[in-house]
Amino acid sequence: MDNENLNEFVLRINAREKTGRKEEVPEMWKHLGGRGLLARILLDEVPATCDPLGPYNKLIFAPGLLVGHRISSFDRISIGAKSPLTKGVKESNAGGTTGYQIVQLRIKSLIIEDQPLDPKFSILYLSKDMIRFDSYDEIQGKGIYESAKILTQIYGKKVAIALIGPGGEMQLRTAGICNLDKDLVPSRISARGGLGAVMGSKGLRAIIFDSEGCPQPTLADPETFRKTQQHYTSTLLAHPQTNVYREYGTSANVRMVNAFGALPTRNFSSGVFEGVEKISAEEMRKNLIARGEDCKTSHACMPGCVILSSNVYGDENGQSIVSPLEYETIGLLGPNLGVDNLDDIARMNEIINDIGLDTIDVGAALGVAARAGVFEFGDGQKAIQLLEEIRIGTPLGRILGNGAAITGEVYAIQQVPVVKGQAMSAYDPRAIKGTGVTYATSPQGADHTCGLTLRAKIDHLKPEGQVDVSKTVQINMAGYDTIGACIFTVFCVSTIPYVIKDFLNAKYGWWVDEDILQTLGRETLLMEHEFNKLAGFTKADDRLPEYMTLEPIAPHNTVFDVPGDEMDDIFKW
Amino acid sequence: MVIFVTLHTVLRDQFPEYVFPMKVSLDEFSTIEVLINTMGILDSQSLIFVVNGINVECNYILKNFDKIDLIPAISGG
Ligand code: SF4
Repeated sequence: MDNENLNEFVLRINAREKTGRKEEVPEMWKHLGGRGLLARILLDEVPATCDPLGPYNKLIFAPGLLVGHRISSFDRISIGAKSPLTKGVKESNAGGTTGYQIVQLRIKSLIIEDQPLDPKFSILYLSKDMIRFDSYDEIQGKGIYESAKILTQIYGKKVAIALIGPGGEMQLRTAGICNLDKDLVPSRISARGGLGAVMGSKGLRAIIFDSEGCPQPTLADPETFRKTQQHYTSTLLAHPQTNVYREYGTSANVRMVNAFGALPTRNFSSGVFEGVEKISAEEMRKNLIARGEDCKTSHACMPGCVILSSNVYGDENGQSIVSPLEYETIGLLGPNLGVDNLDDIARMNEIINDIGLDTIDVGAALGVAARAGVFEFGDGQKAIQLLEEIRIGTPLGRILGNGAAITGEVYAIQQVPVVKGQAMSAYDPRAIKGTGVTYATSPQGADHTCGLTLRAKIDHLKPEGQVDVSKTVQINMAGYDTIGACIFTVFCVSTIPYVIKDFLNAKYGWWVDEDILQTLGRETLLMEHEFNKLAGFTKADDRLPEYMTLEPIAPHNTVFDVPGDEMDDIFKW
Repeated sequence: MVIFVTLHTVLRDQFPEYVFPMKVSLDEFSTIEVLINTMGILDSQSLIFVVNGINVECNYILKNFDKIDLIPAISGG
C-alpha cells in the first residue's frame, strides 16, 4: 500500500513530560483510519486490563481514511481509548472541524500517553512547526461554551479545538470531548463512553489544531477523485432522504419510533409516549420557523456538508438555546423522563453540553433516578436542577454524571437500560430486536450508531433473523466509521456503493474492490472484540439487562427473546 | 372500508390542510400500494409502512380500521 505521497505521521504526546515526537506510520496501520485504526492502536499499545484513567491508557485521535477533502459529510474525527464507562474498547466519532484540520496537519493519529504528576490542567497547541503546552488559566472553571469563545479569541477563528468541560475535569464517566462546528460552537461531541474523563486524566483541558500554512494533502489521482466527488454530491443532493434530513433533521425519528412502539418512555417502561406530538419534528419545525431570529431548521456541522441535518433551536424570542437538538437527546431527555416540552429538553441539552457530558447516558441516568423516586417523571424543572448539581459536583450530581449504570447500582434499581455499562440510545430493544442484538453484541456497548436496524425488511418484534440483520449493519457501520463518513450518507452511498473504492483508490493509489467497506468493517469488529476479550469480557457482557427479557413493554407486550447462543456467533464469519 | 392514515414529515407537505390521522375509504382487500396510489403520494420508494405498530411491505392487504403510518425513512443521530 502506498501512502508515501501523503507524508502522514503519528504524533505521540507524553502528557507527563509535556513533550511530543513525530513517528513514521507503521505498515500495519497504513490501510486503516478512524475507528479501525483506533482498534489497531489499542490492541498494539494499550494493556487491555489497564486502569482506563491511569497512565497506561492512551487517548487517541484518528481521522477516517477519506477525511480532509471536503467530501460532503465525510470529515469526521474518531476519538478513542479504553473506556472508563464500559471498561472496553471505545471509539466515538463527531463532525465539526477537528477531522479536517488534523488531516491538513498530516497527523494520521495523535496518541496521548501517560499522565502528569501535577494536577493542573493545560492546553495542547499543535501547528505545522510547533507542539506546545499552554496555560489553561483563562478557561479554568468555565463551561464548554464560554471556554470555546475564549479559546477562539486567543488562538483565532481558523483553528479546530477539541475540549472537555467541568465533567471531564471531574473525570465523570459520561464526559465527552467537544469539537467546534463550522460556526465555532463546541457542539460536535465525541460523547459516548467517557472519553472526556480520559482526556481529563491526561491533564488536558483543550487541544488546538492549527493547520495554518499546511498545503492541501495530495491525491494519487486528483481527476478521478474530483469526478467521483461530483457524482457523489449530485446523487446525495437528489436523494429523497437528504431532503428529510435537511427539513426535519433526526427528530423525524420521534414519531416514527413511537409508531413502532419503541420510543423509550419513563425509564424504558413503555414504547409509546402520550406527549409525542408536542416533541415531534413537525412541531419543532413549526416552532423554529415561527420563532425566527437565530432558529434554523437546517444547518451544517462541517463545511461542505450538503445534507444539513443539524439545526439551531431557539427560545420564544428566537434566541439560540442549543444547536443541534437531535433525536437521541429528545428521546432520552423527553419521553424517557416523561417531559413533553421541547424548550425544557433544549435547556437540559444545553446544560449537559456545557458541562461536557453525553446526553444519552445522563438522560438515562435521570430516568433511573426518577424510577428510584429522586424526582417525579415529567418534572423538567427538577431535572434541570439535578443537572446543575452535576456541574458543581455534589455527591448526587457525581452519581448522575457517572451515568445510568452507576445510578442504578447506587439506588438498587434493576431496570437500568445499559449494556457493558453504557446506556441505550432512544430505541427500546424489545420492539426493535435487531437493534437489541446490536446493543448486546457491539464491542462498543449499547450504541445505535453501531448498527441501527430500523430500516431492515423484517418483523422487528420477532426474534428470528435479527442476528443476521444486526451483523450486516454492524459490519457496514464499522466500515463507515473507519473511512470517516457521517452515518447520514448511508442512504445515498448504498445506492452507489462503488464510490467508496473510487475515492480510496484515487486518494491513496490503491486497487481495492467494492467490498472494501465491509472488509474494513469486519477487520475493525474483530480487533475490537479481541481487545474486549483481553480486557476480560465474556458472553455475559454480550447480553441485554435481564429485566428486558422478563418485563414486556407496551404497546406490543414483547420481551427481548433473541437466543443468547445465536448472538454469541455473531462475529463468526 | 376505512383506513386511518398518519403521514410523517415531508409527506405532510402534500396535504397541508389535513389533520392527522386522515380517514381514507378504500375497497376491501386493498393493499398499501393501492392506498398510496389513491392518495396520489409521490415518491413512495423509500417509505416505511407501519400498520398498527408493525412494519410491513407495500403488498400488505389492509383491513377495516387499520391504522397506518407512512414514513419517509430516516435514521437516528
Ligand atoms: S449530515 Fe448532519 S451530522 Fe452529518 S455531517 Fe452533515 S450536519 Fe453533520
